[in-house]
Amino acid sequence: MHMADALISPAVGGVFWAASALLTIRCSSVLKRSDGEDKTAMMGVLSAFVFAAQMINFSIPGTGSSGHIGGALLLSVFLGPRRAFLSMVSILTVQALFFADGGLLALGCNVFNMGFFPCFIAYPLIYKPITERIGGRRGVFAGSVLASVAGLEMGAFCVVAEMLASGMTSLPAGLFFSLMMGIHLAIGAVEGMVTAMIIAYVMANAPDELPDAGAGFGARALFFFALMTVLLGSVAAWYASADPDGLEWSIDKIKDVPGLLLHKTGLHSFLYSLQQKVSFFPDYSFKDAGVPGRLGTSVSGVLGSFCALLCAAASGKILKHRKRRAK
Amino acid sequence: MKLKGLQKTRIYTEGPGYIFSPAALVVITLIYVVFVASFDKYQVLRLVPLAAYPVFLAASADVRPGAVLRKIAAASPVVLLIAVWNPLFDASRCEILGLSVSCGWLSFASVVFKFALTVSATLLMIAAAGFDKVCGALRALGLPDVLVTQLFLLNRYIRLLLDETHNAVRARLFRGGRITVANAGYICGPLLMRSIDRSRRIRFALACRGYNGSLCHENKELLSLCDKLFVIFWTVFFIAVRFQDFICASWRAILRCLG
Amino acid sequence: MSPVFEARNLEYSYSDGTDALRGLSFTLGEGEVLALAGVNGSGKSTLFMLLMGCLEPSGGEVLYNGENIRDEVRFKLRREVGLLFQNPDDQLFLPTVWEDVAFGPQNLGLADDVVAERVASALCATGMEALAARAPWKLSGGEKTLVALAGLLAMKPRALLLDEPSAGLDPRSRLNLIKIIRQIPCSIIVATHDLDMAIDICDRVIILKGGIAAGESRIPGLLHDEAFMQSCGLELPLGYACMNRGPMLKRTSYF
Repeated sequence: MHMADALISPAVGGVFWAASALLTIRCSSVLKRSDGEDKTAMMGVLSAFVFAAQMINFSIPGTGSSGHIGGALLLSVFLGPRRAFLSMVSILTVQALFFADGGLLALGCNVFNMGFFPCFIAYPLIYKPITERIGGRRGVFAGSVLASVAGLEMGAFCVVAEMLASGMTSLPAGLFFSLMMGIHLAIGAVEGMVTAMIIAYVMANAPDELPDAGAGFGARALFFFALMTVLLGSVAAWYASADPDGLEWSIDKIKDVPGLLLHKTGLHSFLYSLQQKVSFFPDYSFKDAGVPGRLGTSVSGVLGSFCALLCAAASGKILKHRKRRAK
Repeated sequence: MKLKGLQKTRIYTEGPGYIFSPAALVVITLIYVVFVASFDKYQVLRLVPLAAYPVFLAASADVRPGAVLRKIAAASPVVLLIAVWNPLFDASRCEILGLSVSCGWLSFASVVFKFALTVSATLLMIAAAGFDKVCGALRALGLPDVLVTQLFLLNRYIRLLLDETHNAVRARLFRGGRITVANAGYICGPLLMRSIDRSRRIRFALACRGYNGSLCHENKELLSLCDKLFVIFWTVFFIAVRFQDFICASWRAILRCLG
Repeated sequence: MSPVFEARNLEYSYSDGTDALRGLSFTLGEGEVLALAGVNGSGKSTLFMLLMGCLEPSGGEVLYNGENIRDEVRFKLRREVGLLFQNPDDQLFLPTVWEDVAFGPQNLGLADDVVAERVASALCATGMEALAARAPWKLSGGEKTLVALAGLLAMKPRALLLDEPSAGLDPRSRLNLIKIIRQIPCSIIVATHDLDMAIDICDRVIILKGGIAAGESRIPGLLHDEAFMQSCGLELPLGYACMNRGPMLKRTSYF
């Protein structure tokens, strides 16, 4: 799932670099302030372990194929989401720099696709609730497989959206989504099973090494609202009214009035052409006219909601920080 | 199993270091990658002058081109798998230097060429400056200390863990065992436990030598005058190539000369 | 004058309930070199972790310079006492030998020129000057041990704790190490199975058995008491055993 620089545009790469950088800075500053046991060494060595263990291909009897461990989920179990995310950043950076697995510009996208979703969505919202509810080996297996599949599917979805938004591939969106998400469904299942086997081994032989589950943070509520956002943005948006809103209706009435120049000269013209170049989803659809309209609506709805969430969270943090400093 | 191939993580021999600072290399390589990626998917010939940067790096850092090309080839399957659909789904025609070509194949060539340029620039940056110096430069450029420490420790212990993993797998295979999902726990579980134990000892070792959150104490000036000139020169070159079609201009000049 | 280290009825249990130490008491005087001998799992490494304040004892106390190891004393202790781990890979984490040896002095907040001078002198003392630019992962086992030791010497410690320093070394490297340790001007505790090395460099020996000090004497003392050594699960030093024993037993087959 590693994306190369050749497959994304600077705009898409830049946006995800900014998102991943913000997450990285946030995780680093939280860990710096925390009073807990210093796990710096554990993060480094477990990252190296994940790197090495990913090289082992475990054959799946009866299928002729093989798979390997994921990494982000296993790291989240032993280190917690923030430390696991930073470990994934270091692993992906080394993979990009030494093995050309992923590019420098695409690093932000790769960190987001393979770090954010497993560490901050799949682990706290799927793995932890399932293992706590079911418990024991069965809980670990169910949680690992479901969380692994969910994390990979979300990442694969994002990969396709990023590539389509960049416009470097001519693959039809529907086919691209089906292929990527279908393949990663199988990969996720195998990764989940391998991860579960390892966690089960530790549970059986050294249960003290597994960190406590710890207090939840309103995971259920968060999951509910996240699910509602995805459903509204992706499905309900198809049924949004096509009639113009009040402002559009007003402009429609006066656009033929003489003397009214609409983005024809000077700054207006420049900003209009800039907007045409930069917007990923003009009018909530893909630039490529061949892509089905509903798909464009769904993708732009989900990604747009997510961007709004990030901006709101960032604004909240900045305001909170300024308030604390003012005190 | 591909562990053996991963032992060869270096494509250069240790040398006295590069003439320009690692920070300059990091900055200009990032700028380079952005410029390469900014070209439209049908622009192939206009990318050609940008090959000057990796060629310059390879020559000045004394890196064998074969080693770089082998790494590019090893990393190319995924990109080829995605780009190969372009000729199948894009049947439109474009005109290049008076010739009519398939746009699908043009975009395929563009993706592959961009991949080769960006990957070679990244690998050569590491080859020229060294991974550890690049980490030091990233720290000076603002990367958080905890992440720089992670990169150092990861680079340091990756070989050790790779050897241990290799030995664990070989020990199982030599005794007639198999590597399947069913015994993943028995193979990776002990490795994981040993890694956790090792990490505890490393934590104590760090604490016993006064570790204060930073493994890197590099305090040298970030960019000298030479480094700044290096960055400015290549940036101007990239801008010129991005906004001026030198290939077409050269082709027209050649046609004029030929009458 | 207070001893450098003093352990009073030290007790420690692992998380699974196994007792590592059960009431161990000893002292380390200024300039003294003490050998700590015992079978595998007798608690030598655990004792070193307790002395450095990395583990909390479940009973008894550890005193450094007459003061109980608390947070502020622990901070001072780690600047003045060096610990050589059994596996040098656990304490070599920087890209080159030079940077690794400089790590400790830099954390002490010393100026760059002082750091450089200390690193040069530590590498010279261990004979590792030629390897300053080498990556630690490329060194042999003996070289790693010496570089790790150089990293401690660069901090100009008041005391050193050496955990099995000669483990895995070939005979020549071992002799080289013995020569180097003999020239270090500080108090040292050496945890070792290499009793011949203990006789060469140490002043006193403590034999650990069952988590307590089963015996303590000046060198060679108890190390030549065959009955006592065997009761502690140990063999006589090789040099002494060769002088006093008859021919070796004939090797038997498995089948």
